[in-house]
Amino acid sequence: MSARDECLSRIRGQLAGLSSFTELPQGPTPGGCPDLDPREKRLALFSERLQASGGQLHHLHSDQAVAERLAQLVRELGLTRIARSDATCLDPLIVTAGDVEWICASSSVKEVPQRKSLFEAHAGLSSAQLGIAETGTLVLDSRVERHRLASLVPPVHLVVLDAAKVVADLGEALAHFERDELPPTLTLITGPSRTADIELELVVGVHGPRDLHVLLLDPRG
Amino acid sequence: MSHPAQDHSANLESFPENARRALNDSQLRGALRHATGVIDERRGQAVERVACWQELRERAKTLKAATLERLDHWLELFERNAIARGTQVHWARDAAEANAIVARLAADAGARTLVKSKSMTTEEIGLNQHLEELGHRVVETDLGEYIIQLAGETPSHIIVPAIHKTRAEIGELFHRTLGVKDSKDPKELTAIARERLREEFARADMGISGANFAIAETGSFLVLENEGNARLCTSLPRVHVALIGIEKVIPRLADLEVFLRLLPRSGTGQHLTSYQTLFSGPRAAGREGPEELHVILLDNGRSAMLSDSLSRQALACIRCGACLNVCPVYGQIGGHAYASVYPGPIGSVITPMLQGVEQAHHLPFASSLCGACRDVCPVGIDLPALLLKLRSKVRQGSAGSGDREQRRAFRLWSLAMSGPRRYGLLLRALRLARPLLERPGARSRLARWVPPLAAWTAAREFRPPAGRSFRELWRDQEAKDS
Amino acid sequence: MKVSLFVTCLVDQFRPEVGLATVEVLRRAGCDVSFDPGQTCCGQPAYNAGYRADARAAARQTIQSLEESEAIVLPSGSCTAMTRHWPELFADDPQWRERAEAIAPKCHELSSFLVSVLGCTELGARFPGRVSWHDACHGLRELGIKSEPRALLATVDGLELIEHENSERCCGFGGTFSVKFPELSVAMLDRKLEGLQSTGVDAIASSDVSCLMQIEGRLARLGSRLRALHLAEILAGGAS
Repeated sequence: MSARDECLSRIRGQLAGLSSFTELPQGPTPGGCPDLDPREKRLALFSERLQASGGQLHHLHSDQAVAERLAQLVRELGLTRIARSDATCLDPLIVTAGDVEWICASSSVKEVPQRKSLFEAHAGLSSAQLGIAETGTLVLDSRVERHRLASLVPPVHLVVLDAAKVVADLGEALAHFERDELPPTLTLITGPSRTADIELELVVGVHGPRDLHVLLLDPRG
Repeated sequence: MSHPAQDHSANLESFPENARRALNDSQLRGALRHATGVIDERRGQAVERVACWQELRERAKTLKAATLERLDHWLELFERNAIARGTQVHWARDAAEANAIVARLAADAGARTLVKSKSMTTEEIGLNQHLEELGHRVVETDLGEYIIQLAGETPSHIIVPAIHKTRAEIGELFHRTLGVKDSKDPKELTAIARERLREEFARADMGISGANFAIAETGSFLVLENEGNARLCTSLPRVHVALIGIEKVIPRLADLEVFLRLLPRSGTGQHLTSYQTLFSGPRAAGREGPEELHVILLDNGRSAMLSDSLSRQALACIRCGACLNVCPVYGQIGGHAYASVYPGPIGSVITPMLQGVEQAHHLPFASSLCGACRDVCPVGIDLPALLLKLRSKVRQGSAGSGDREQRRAFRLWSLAMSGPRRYGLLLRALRLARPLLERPGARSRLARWVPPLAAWTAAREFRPPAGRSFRELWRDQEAKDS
Repeated sequence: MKVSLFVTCLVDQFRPEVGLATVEVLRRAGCDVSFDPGQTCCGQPAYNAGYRADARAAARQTIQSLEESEAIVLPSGSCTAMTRHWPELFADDPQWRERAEAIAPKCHELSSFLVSVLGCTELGARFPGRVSWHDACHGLRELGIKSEPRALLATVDGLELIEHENSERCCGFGGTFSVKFPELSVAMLDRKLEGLQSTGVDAIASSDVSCLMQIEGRLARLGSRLRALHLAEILAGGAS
């Protein structure tokens, strides 16, 4: 018997005597905040939770304001080498960001020079596909954008997020990805990389970014 | 990187001795007290802020129960959907089979360096040791696990592997093994680990992870973490292998919601950990990520725990570690004393269930049954009930034979308790022993023949039975009244 | 109200004065108290040690002796919690399981009986001194008893209740645990007692004689002047 068949038959053997079955719970999961309207309330919660988990929020009201804030961050943080994702929405920002060497995260990071330059980048720039107000979380869809490494390897992560993409809670975010809509990798990011493995003392930036800047584009706000 | 042989089962016998040794280690107890106190306080605060905590627990408990009752169905569904998305699914009956699968995949990939994210399941099967014996380099990348690997130890906590170590010990360890300058600053120590591990990530050929949940309807699995090392392990190498216990499957994507509310709060007191990654297949052409994604579904004793509803509860564990932090026994002795991969209350339950009560017969007794663990368990596992059930199982087997005197004593006790006349005889016998128990000299002589008395009186006074029992006093009073 | 006392084996043999105090308190609360000498033990010592057949033998005797009663009161949360386990203990014996299911809900821990069943907190007790309460684990976590003893202590004339941060922490007794792992058991107790002396209390009180034996045994060895008292002893104090 194959390992598969034996595992399954063991399981069936143990469960054979069951005569009544517990019903799977249906309906919304408790603890969400589905009625988080108007959008101002949703954005306020997103902002509060993001900052509570150590991220920084820049609430901006035009494309131009986003570009200016990015340029300002680049200057202030001294970012001269930035790994960017392939999202086209970033293209106009790059033009005005200042004197920066741009590294485009590629599928072939296995190549040593590519990998090396990625590891030497000062920051990563990407967009995010969703925001979750309940937890101050960013959702990254690997199908839409190549941001798996740009959001992870450099010590600073700069993210552009469309305010219209901020959903209320985890349930709403998961509902966005019905079974056929799932990318190979879906990443949820809440604040910077952190550890407390030494005497429970919080240290940020252990393997991923120590700084997370969210540029929230909110033209209606 | 050496990882000395950890034959847990051989040490399971030594729990009483391990516990005594731990009690004499003031550094260990200081570290434990601080850490368990801090995490439990954070957990308490996080839980307090969730008004519907009990509803969430109830939902998670029901969800797990319903899933486990039809586990075969959900596993088959998971497998079908995972394969449809290009994930390669393997099944392992036991630890040896799982190790062999990983070894074969590593050989196929020509992998020399393997990077690992934190996974208790890989600890359970002794994966590192197996791969190292075959000549692979296996590098733990979670900071706590990295510390433990450098020290040649095993994790002493499910969530905080190096909970038993102080910053000074870790600084000294880094100094000794990595040749860096001695430091006591967690920030500096973390930065050192970051640098060292970046080199490993850059050269790794294969990444190994566990999973917190596997989702049947999508064939996906989710990994929770805070550091980003799991993301690096699963983004950079060409091959990603995930070892997943069969009990980790949940039916629907939407079912993640309840667990994402419960697990981080219970584990570390966070409302969400920094990262959750949902894997649903290898990379699409031209995208980032591993070319191959393998899932190994591991039984290793789990299917036997499906036999009844109480045992199934133990399979609902989501490995948050809350029961460890709150346990007054764990808080005194730490995880290594248990000499099992899974320590604390949940470890005392699942170790005997996975490895057999004969081997782990001490563990179900390593509890005062205070029930604090049951109160904090986010999926409502009745840990004291499981410990009691296992105790009875130990007594039915031959493992308890070392306690032959105790068995005889309880037989006598039950005789005395099953009839008022015999109970009266017991009272009279106790009365006769009273002079012996009252005089310190006589008592210590008696203790030599009665080990429990010796155990009690080593650090506590013993109150001898009363001169007249309640029932006698009652009878006297009744006689007087009439 | 007619009440049957299940005095519990430990009180019967080691602290009979707690039994007398319980009778006194129940009478003051207007109960007609009876005691059936057929009772022995709830079976918990054997049950917790894994000897279920022995536990059943004890439980059968006690059930038989008390099952005709309308209400049964125990000066112990732990033994009361054990009565809730009786149905499961007799899971394979339909006849006894039925009897266990019938009697279990009639069994009440003293403080919860006084407060929740009788609705009586004022017993005219007097106890001069500062007292810290120990929430014994089974009463607290299996029966949910937390406010009841405090409500009773609040009415005791002269008594000052000093809340201690470790009141819910296990005392480390745990039945045979206390002699199987004596060093661990005592270490757990020492952790519980930490800081208690500095609060200036005169006594630590609880509703379980088993915890009290553990606590008083250690306090005596440490040469402490702190007393370990049962709730009933306090409530029976200053008898009118």
